[in-house]
Amino acid sequence: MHGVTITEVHARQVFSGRGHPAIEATVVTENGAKGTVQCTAGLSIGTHEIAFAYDGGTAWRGKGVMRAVENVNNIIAPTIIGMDATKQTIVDNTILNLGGSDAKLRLGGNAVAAVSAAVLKAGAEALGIPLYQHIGGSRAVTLPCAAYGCISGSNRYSSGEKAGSKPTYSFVAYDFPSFSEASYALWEVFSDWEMYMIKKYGLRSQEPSPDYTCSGFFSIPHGLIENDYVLMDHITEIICKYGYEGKMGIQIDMAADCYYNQETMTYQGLFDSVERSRDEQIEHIVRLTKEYPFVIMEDPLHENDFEGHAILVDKTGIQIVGDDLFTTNTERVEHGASMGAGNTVLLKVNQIGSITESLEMIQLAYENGYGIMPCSSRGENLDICDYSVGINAGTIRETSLGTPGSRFLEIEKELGSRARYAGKQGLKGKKFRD
Amino acid sequence: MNKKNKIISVSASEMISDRNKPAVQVVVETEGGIVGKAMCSPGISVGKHEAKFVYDGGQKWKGLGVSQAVDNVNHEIAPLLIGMDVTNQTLCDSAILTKDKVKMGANATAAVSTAILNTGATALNMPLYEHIGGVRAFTLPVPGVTAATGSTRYGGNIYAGYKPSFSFVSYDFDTFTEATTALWEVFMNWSDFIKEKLGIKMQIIAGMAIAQGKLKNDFELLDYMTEVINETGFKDRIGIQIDIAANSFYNKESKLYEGIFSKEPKTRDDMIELMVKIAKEYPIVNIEDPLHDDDFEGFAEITKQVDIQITGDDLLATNPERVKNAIQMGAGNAMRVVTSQIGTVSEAAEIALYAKENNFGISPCGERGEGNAICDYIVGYNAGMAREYGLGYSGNRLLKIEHELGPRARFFGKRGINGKRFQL
Repeated sequence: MHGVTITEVHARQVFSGRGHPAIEATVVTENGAKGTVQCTAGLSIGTHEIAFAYDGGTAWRGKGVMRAVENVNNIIAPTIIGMDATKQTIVDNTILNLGGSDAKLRLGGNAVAAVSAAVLKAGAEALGIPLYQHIGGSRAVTLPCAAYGCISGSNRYSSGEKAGSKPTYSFVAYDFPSFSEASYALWEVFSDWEMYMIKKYGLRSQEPSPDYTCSGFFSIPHGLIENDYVLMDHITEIICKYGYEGKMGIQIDMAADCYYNQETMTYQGLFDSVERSRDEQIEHIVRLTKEYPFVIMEDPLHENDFEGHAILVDKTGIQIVGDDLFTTNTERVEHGASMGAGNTVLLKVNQIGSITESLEMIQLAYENGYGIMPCSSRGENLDICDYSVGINAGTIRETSLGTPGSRFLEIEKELGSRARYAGKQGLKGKKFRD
Repeated sequence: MNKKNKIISVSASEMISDRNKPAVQVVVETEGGIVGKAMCSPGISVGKHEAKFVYDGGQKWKGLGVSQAVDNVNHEIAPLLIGMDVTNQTLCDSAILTKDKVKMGANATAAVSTAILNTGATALNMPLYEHIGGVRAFTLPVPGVTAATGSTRYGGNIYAGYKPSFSFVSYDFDTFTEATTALWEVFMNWSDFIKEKLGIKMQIIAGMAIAQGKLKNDFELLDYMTEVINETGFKDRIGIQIDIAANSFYNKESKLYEGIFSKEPKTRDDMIELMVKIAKEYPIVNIEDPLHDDDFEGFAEITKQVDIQITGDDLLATNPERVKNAIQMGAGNAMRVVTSQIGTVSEAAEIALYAKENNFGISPCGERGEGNAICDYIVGYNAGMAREYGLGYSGNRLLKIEHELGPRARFFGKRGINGKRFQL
C-alpha cells in the first residue's frame, strides 16, 4: 500500500475540553494523511483505571503532562516511524511492548492512548475512508439511540464531593425509524425542557462549545429542589406531552460509588437526603424503574458490588451500564460477565490505553451478550460518533444534538439506505425484547 | 487555474449547530478531490440590522428550519460555482452575490462562501489564517475566558441567552503563551473562589450562569473578579471584558433598561453614567453593546468619556452603512466582525479592512458556526483582540498557530486593545 507509512509522530500539551492539561498526539503518514488526538483524565476517576503520567510540581497544579509528551516524542515516535499506519494491531503491539510488557506504566497510559488513537485516525485518512469504516469495515452501519443530557450537579443534597457532576439525567429517543427522526424528537423535547428550567428555576445549561460533546446539562445547585423526583416527574411529563411515551425514556448516571460511605456501608445524598443501605438502594431503584420511564441506568451501586449489579439486571429489565464497575478493563468485564453483573459496558476509548485493547474488550463484551455504550469524556471528542458507528453501538452517552448530532446526521447521510437505526433493539434488557 | 482546484460539486444540507439550532451546512469538492465544508447558524441574540436569514417558518424546528435556504444553495447558488477556482475567494463571492442575498438568505450565502474559503485553504495546502491574511497574518490576539454569565439574576430577559457575560482578558504579557498560562491560573483560582463564595461549580472552561439571589448587583461580581486577578498576582496585566448585550434588556415602551447589573430599572443616562463609572473604578478593558442597537449618540457619549475599548455588535451588525456612521460619530471604537451578519467572506474582510483604516478595532466572533476556525480568522485579520478565545480548544489552536509562526508570531498585548489607556 502506497503512502501509508508513518513519517512523523509528535505530541504537545494542550487544554482538554474541560480546560485541564491534556496530551495531544499527531501522527502523519507518507501521503500526507494526519491524525490528531487528545487524551485527558475524566471528572470522576475510577480506582481501576490505567495510570496517567503527570509532571507533579506546582505548574498546572501538578497535572501537567510534559513527561508524557516527552515519552511520545523521544521513545514512542522513533519506534513507530516507518511502520504502516493502517496496521493498528501491529503498531499497538509494538508500543505496548516497548522495553518490556509494562510499557503503559512507564510511558503513561495517556501517552500510549493518544498515540494509538492518532495512528487510527491517520490510518483512516491515509486510506481515504471515514474513521467509522476504518474501525468497523463495511459492517459499520448502526446509528445509536439518540440521547441528550438534561440534569447534572453533584451537591444538591450535600454529598458526592468527588462525583464530578453526577448524577446526570438524559433523554433517550429509542423507538423511532431513523436517527434523524429520533434526534428531531429529542430536540423538541429538549427545547421544551430548556424553557421550563429557565422559567421555573432561572437556570441555564452550561454554555455550549464547538468541540465539547457533553452539552445540555442543567446543573442543579444545592438547596434548589427537595428531591430528584420532582425532576423525574417533569421529564416524564414533557415526554408524554409530545406523545413520545414508550418511544423516549430516561437515562441516569448515578456514579453511586461517590455516594457510598464505606464505613456506614450506606448510600447518602442520591435522589434525596435519605440514607439507604445496599438492599434499600436496590429496592429503591427497582421501584423507580416501575414508576418512571427509565431505560438506562449507569453505576447504580458502588464499584465493587458485582452481585448487586446482577440483581438489578434481573429485577429492572432495563439497560444497566457499568462505568466505574468495569473501567473499560478486560478482567473486570470478564468477571462481571461471569455473574451477569450489568448488561452494558461503558466505553472510554482512551481509558484502557491502546485502541487494540479497547477493541478486544468490546469484542469480549459482545461475545458475552453485553452492550457497549461509548462516552467521550477522555478527549475522544467528536470522534466518539465514528467510534460508535464503527463498533455498531446500540446506545451512546448524551451526544446526539449539537455538533456530535450533526456528525451522526452526516454519517447517516453517507450510509444512505444502508444506515440502520439501533432503536429499541439497541437497548439491552429483557424489557426491550418483544 | 490549476485544474485540480476546479469546483465540481457544492452541496448543502440541514444540520444542527453546537447551540442546537438548525444550520445550513455546505460541502464543496474540487476536481483534485479536495473536500471542505462550513456551517452557518444563527447566534443567540440576532440583531435587527443583520443581513436576514431565510427560515422555513411553520411548525417544525419552531419555524427555524433551513430547508429552503438549503434548496437555495443546491439549486440557485451551486450551479454558478461549478467550474470556478476554489482558491479565488473574491471571484466566487462575486458569483454568489449576483443572486439576491435577501431571497437566498445570508445563512445560505455565508455557508457557501465560508465552505469555499475552507476548501480553498486545503487545496492550497496552507493554514486557513494564511489563506485569509497571506504572509501578513501573524498577530495573536489578547486571550480571554468567560467568568460569569446569566441573564436572569436580576429578573432580566430569559431569552437573552448567556448575556451579560463577564470575562478575564490577559493583555500585558510578551507572548501569547505567557498570557494564556497566566489566564489559566486566574481562571482556576476564580473557579475555586466562586465555588466557595457562591456555591457555583464550574465543569469546563466557560462561564457559569449566576442564578437569581446570589448577588446584590454586578459591582459585587466586579469586586470578586478584581480580587482574584490581584490575588493571583496579575494586577494591571489581566483585565475584565463585559458584553452587556443591552438590547436584550431594553424595554422599548418604558425606554428603560431592565434586569441588567442590578434590580433597579435604568434610564439611558443611568446606563451611560454606570458604564463610565465602572470603566474608571474597575480594571475593565472592553465593554460591548453597553446601550441598545440604535443609540449611536449614547455610544459616542460613553466612548468620549472613557479611555477603554467600546465595541459595537448589535449596534453595527457588520453592516457597512452603520459602521461608517459609527466611525463618523465616534460611536464606539471597535466592531464585531461576523461573516453571517453580512453574507460573504469577502464582504466581511472588506468591512474589517475599512474599520482598521479608520483606527476602529475589530473583534471577530465565532458563535455563528465558525467553530474553532474563528482563531484562524482572528490571526488572518490581525485582530489584536477578540472575544473569549485563549483557553480550551481555541487556546490549543492559537498556541499551534503561534508555534507555526515561530519567531514571526507577534503578540501586541495591550496595544491590541483600542482606547487611549492602552496606546503609546
